[in-house]
Amino acid sequence: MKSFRFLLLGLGMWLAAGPSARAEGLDDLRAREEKVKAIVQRVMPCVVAVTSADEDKPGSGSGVIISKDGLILTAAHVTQATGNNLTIIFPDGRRVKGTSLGANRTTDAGMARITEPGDWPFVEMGSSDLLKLGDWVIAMGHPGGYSFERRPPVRLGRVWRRDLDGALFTSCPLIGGDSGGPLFDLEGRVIGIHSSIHGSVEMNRHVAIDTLRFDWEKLAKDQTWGKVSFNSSNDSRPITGALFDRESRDGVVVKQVFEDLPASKAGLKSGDVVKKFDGEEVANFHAMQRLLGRRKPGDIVPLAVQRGDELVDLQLELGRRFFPRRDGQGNLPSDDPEAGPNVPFVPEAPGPRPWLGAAVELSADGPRLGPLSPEGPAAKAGLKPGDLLMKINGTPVKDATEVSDFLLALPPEATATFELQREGQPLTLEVKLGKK
Amino acid sequence: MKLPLLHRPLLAAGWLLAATGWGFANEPAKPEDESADGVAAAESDRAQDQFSRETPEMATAWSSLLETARRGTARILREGKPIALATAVNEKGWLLTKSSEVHDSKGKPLASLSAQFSGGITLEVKISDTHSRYDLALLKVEARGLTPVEWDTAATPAPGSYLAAAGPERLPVAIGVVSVAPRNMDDAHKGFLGISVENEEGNLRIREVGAHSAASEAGLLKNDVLISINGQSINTVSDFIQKIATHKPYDTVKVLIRRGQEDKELSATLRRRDENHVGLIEDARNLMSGALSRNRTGYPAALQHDMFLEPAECGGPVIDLAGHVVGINIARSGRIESFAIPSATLVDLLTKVESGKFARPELDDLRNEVKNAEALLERVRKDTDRLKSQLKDAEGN
Repeated sequence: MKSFRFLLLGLGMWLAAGPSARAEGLDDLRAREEKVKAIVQRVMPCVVAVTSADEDKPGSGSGVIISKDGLILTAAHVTQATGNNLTIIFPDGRRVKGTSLGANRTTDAGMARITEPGDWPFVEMGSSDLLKLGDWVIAMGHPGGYSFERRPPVRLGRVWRRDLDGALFTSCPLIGGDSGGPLFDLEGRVIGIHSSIHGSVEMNRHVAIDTLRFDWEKLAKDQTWGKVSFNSSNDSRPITGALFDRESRDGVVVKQVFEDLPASKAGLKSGDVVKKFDGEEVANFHAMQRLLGRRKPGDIVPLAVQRGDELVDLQLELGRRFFPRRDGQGNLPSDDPEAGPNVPFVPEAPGPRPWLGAAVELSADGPRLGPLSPEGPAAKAGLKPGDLLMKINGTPVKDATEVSDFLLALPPEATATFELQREGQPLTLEVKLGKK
Repeated sequence: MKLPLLHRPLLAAGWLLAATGWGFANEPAKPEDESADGVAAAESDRAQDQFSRETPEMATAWSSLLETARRGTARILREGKPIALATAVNEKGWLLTKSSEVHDSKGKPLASLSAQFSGGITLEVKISDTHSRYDLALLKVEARGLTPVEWDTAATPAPGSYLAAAGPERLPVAIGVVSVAPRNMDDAHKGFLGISVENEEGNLRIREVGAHSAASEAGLLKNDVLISINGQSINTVSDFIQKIATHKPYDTVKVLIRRGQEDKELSATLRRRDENHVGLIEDARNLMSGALSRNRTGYPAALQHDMFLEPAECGGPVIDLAGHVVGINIARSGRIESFAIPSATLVDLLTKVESGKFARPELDDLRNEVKNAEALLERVRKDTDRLKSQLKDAEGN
């Protein structure tokens, strides 16, 4: 099945890559391997587990030390709030005390500090703005929490997507406990902080280091702000109505200006180079996007634009997104399938979630129960490993995802009717779900 | 009934905190192209393929290294459907595969299995032996002149080293890197002292001593500082864990400690770790990342890597960039982890393969454990007798 997918991807690659693709040989792989091995060995001591020192609030994430006096970069949702007592665990098991500093819940960037005196091992920060799609990156962290029995697992992948809000997506697979851990470039510099996962193994989101840097003073000054959102295509984010060259440096080159949208109304022309945006110099596209993200539709921002030899000042009234919403089936009402991404954002209710107490696995015949939690709801209801799930509350379930989807949509401690097959015989059981 | 789309987000995304109750959150938007900024161009799906970590060029580059191994790799089929890979271990028709993939969930061997080699030759397969701790099965096909893989028992690829999984085809099944050096994941067979320690300014101080543990029996006390075990100095917590784990249950070790100003050497007979804990992967975040192997943890020696494998892609050889066979894939264990049994371990299990059986070096270990446990029992019995007679004498007076 996987090989099949591989072939499909292969074909896509040839079509998409065109003449710019350079054939990669064993020598390239060997050169990269040498780099990765050396980096991993060098940065390993700086990849720490960031855990709550408060036993009432268990939780374990990761972090990376970036200064000799013990400043740690991590994720906002790891430290939760400013001033929490933390236990920082080094890969060799050494534990030291720490405290959380600031956190931006919107970008998920967070900061913490070791509070004990010492000369701590640290790594340098790189630049995420200068990354290109396709660049190779290394992810490390403490998945599943700190373990004495292994060093932080190494994962190698590539950057394949960058969002306007400063998030990077890579094919370095992440899992619980990795949050706040470092993403390194192939010079061994931190260029991202692990944040969340979104479906397939390739969908791993990291906070870009330059996004974190943008908030540096606030983060270092113990401020916590913003609100949790996994949705990067934020309706309230303003638009300019122009296309920009993402590779340009020392300013941002305008590639195209669209009629009747803010940029053309403001008099921006293709070929212009935006030097200042909203009063600040912009080094590149991503820097400008960060400034744009501070504003809202309707705001008027001053631009300083290089046009030929001339420096032109413009006033840009930012516009509002006009993408149509998807309907309940995920389809866009427009007949243009590429008319833009905009899945409705439904905030998640906090609080306990329903709990089955069993792993659900894919099998050739459908979703099957794997190991059961000994005292869990599934075991109590008489479910057994190997049971094939047919229907829940009368709804057919054809894979593990559907089972999880269905159960997570029920209230905690609800009772659900499971129709199963056990050794080929149909069986119906009532399961009273737990909560977690 | 089709589930409404809005339920999907609950599963689709999640923060990555370990051991907390909230694993899920909302879906991110469909990939958003930066250039869009109001004008649409959703190219991200294509970018995901274009910038895949397994490109056709990489696969092609690997193919020259896989030539021998792929000839020794078969795809195990059941009713025409691939269920595992298998690795030829000699030319006389013996193959190694992942046992739980060729048995049903109750351990019953699956019927009508066949092995398909490169070039399409398909042969009937018999299961000859299984090894539960490594989840391995020894298979036999009626054939001579198979191309066995050449195990490289010396190769120990460091974390970050590239690996590829061979299948019968020219291109690799998957490509990844070493995540963690080989380790023993089989807790039940590690010696256990029964203390927790903490690193206090370079001193390893005992924080807790378990009741009825090897440590309490040996006379270790809370606040003792651990200096060495069997003469090897212990400097960090993981040092301690690793040193102890190299010993088997019922081994006797010398523990040097400092209590106050005094150094003391105590003798501790290790025990088994409490076996009540069950390795569970309840984490649905692992499940949304594709299918996992049914049997996926607890191997006495396993190398962790980050290849995206299907369960049915386990059982085949794993090759490093020198072209050496460093092991075989044994499990897809989670979103971030796959495991391979290292070649050195396999070679020890295959010393009498032509008898159709796995060698069982671990039986000797177990016999030793029994012997040591019996010796311990004998000592305790003698102590008991002596105490009884002391008591009797005392009562007599």
